Amino acid sequence: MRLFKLSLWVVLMASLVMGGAGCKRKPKTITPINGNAYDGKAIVDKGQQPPVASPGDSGTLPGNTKNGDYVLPQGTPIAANPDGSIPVTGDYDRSNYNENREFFKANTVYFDFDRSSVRAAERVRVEEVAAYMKGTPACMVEIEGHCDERGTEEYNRALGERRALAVREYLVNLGIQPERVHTISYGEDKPAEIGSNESAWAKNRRGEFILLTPKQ
Amino acid sequence: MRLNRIILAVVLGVLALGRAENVRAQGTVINIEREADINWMKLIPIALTGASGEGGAALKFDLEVMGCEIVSLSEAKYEVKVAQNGGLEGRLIHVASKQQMLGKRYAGEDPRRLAHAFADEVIQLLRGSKGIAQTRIAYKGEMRQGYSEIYVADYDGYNAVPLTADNSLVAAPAWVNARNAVFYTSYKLGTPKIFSHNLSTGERKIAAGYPGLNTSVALSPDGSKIAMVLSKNGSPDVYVSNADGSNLIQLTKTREDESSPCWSPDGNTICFVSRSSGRAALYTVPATGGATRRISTAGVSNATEPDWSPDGKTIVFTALMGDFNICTVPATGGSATVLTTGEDPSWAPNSRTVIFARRVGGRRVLSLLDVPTKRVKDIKHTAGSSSQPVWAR
Repeated sequence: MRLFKLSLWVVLMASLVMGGAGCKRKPKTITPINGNAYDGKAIVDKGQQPPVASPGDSGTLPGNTKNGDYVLPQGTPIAANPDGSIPVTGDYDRSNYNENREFFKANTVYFDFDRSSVRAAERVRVEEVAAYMKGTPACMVEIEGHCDERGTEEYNRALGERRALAVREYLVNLGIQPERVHTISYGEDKPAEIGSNESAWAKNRRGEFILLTPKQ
Repeated sequence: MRLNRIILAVVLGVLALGRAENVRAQGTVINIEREADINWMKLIPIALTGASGEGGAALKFDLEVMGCEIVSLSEAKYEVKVAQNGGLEGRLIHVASKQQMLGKRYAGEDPRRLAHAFADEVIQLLRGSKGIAQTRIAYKGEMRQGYSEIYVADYDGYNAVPLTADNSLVAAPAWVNARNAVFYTSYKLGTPKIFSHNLSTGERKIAAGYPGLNTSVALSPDGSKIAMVLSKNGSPDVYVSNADGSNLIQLTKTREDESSPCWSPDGNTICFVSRSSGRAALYTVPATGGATRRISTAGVSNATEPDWSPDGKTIVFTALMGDFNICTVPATGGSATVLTTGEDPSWAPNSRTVIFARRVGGRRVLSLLDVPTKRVKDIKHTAGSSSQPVWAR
């Protein structure tokens, strides 16, 4: 990890504060401050900048860690696009994984007609999947997006994918790595229940989780 | 083309008929162009005499699909008179003047092909536009739940053959004669990918195999480019590439899903469906990228599955209003016309006939719609459920 004396910081800051043409002038006042600044990985005291020493200040300025050190914000990569969608990650060799369709059977997420957002009442089912995934880092999950028959076929194929991606976005926002979550849309091709009534339709508008565990 | 298997023997003092030529006989002049204009919007009353067997049935079906009504000789404006003696001998007679407008003899083994060839000539004369009886279609055939294959068939459903044997799911075929290839989605490799399938060699290649969804392929009219729906960037969006998959451009960037792109006949514009407003609606975007524009479909809602007519004038689409309805709207947008119950329409090359899927019980069958007269006829159905028909054009 990169480490440098905070005093350098203060020199720089002080010169900036003195302003304009002062950049090249040697600062008249240097206030030594204890502590080191780290270009760290974690963001400590998010949003807080090291305080700037003004001419005439004396004493020491506090750091943002217990020992007086500063940890500079580094940031973590954002997986999502500005609109919240998350790019699909690459294909993987499915033959290296056992698939378990039963494991998350009770976690199937159901959707409103013609909608792709995860309803508030359904979130706990996704949260349970996320909790399990966090404890089993070698596992992956595939989300199958399905629709009822009251949409046209290609419309449903796109809607089913959007549903699966909405569930994936929620999982990723809960801390699961995007590359561990795969999606596939079957549109209306694989209904859970055959029938042209509200009961069957409600069961068919769904996202199913398939647990993928690596073969030994 | 299969046409070259038919030997067209022209006998019987055929009149060489151009569209605008007048036919003179017995002192009467029939203005062919004027007849065609009169006939365009209406059912044409025709008496079909001498037709029998498979060829006769095919001829009757062809004429009815192309907007003719088979009536008795006393009610008919024209008589289509055939004799089937080892081939097909056909005449078109203007009833009032008893004048023969067309006479031809066709030699060949397949009575259906001979009938289709004659039907197209009759329609060319009566309507001034090319017939569709010798065209073909592709569609998705589902023989058991969750398993489907792509089929190609004559436009009337005969001579259907499976193009794929993937034992998986397939979807959304697209066909352009210029390439003699059918493009479609198959789940054979686990996830939905777009394949191009050469009809001459049987060879197939992946045209789009990105992570996530690859579907709804549509070929540009000259066959050089494809439009499709990909989800690789996090949401199903419309993309365009060369037909081999190279030079990919993303045309839409919405959080909600897009579906079913189709091309304007000049290849400059893509029409597609977006849920970006909360409900399904039609939009257009330049094929090279640019601003999207909503196409108004006043009077109907939840518009999906657009297909742009080859003459450029009309977009046919499916509206969900309780039932699925086949509707048309001017290509510039405007007031929609509801034509019949059904979904996933595809224009014939004549910009007049549409093939679509109709739900019957738990399955779908394919039907033909003559748009100006709203006449509907089911095509031959083999088994299972048939959907997503697309006309070769």
